Amino acid sequence: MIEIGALARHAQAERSDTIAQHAPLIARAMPLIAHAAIRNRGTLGGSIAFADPAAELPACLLALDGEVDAQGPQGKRTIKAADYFKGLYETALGPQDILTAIRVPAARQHHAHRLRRIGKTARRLRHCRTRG
Amino acid sequence: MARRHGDYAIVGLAASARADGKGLKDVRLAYFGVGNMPLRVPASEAALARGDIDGAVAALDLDPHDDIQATGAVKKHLAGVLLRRVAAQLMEQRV
Repeated sequence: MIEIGALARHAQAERSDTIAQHAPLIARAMPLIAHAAIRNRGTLGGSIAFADPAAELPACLLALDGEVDAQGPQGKRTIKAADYFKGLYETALGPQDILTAIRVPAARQHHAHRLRRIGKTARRLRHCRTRG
Repeated sequence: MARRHGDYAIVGLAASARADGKGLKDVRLAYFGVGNMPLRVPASEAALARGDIDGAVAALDLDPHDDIQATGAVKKHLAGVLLRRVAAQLMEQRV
């Protein structure tokens, strides 16, 4: 299994050779997530905890049959992807739980992973020029 | 379909499979943007494992709601489009 800490930024994962080699589906998802400014701040744990229905990483977790670790008042537990997504923005995390790690099986030889999506025209951030 | 940065997906598909000779095993297809959460499509996965792409598209058990980006019917259609594209790519990796 490949374990990714919840606080890993998308940008870190995007640059990670380990993820590129051992979790290629996640590597493929990374450049599609929002844009660079968002990826510098956003975290994998945050994405999975938020569980936006249009987001890439939750689908990756499900496609890979991954799991997450959650820390709560009763201690630590592991939640499998199939049991994790409950509804719209609703997950198996309780209000006092914190997602601490994500795990996916390491890719092996003869594994194929693909992620494709269809989107509309980009909402581009205008770059602001500052003086001084 | 051009990949544009900064997009929200209208429909997306994350797929994992194992090449097994001329076929695919352990096919796992997880759609996003088609419901309240990411969704697996077991009947389509089984058809794809048999090499039946048309069957996999026909068996897509998705009922997306209309939203601000597209109608449910458009999303369902695009889900089939993505399935064909992804299936072709997964098959490329067979021995």
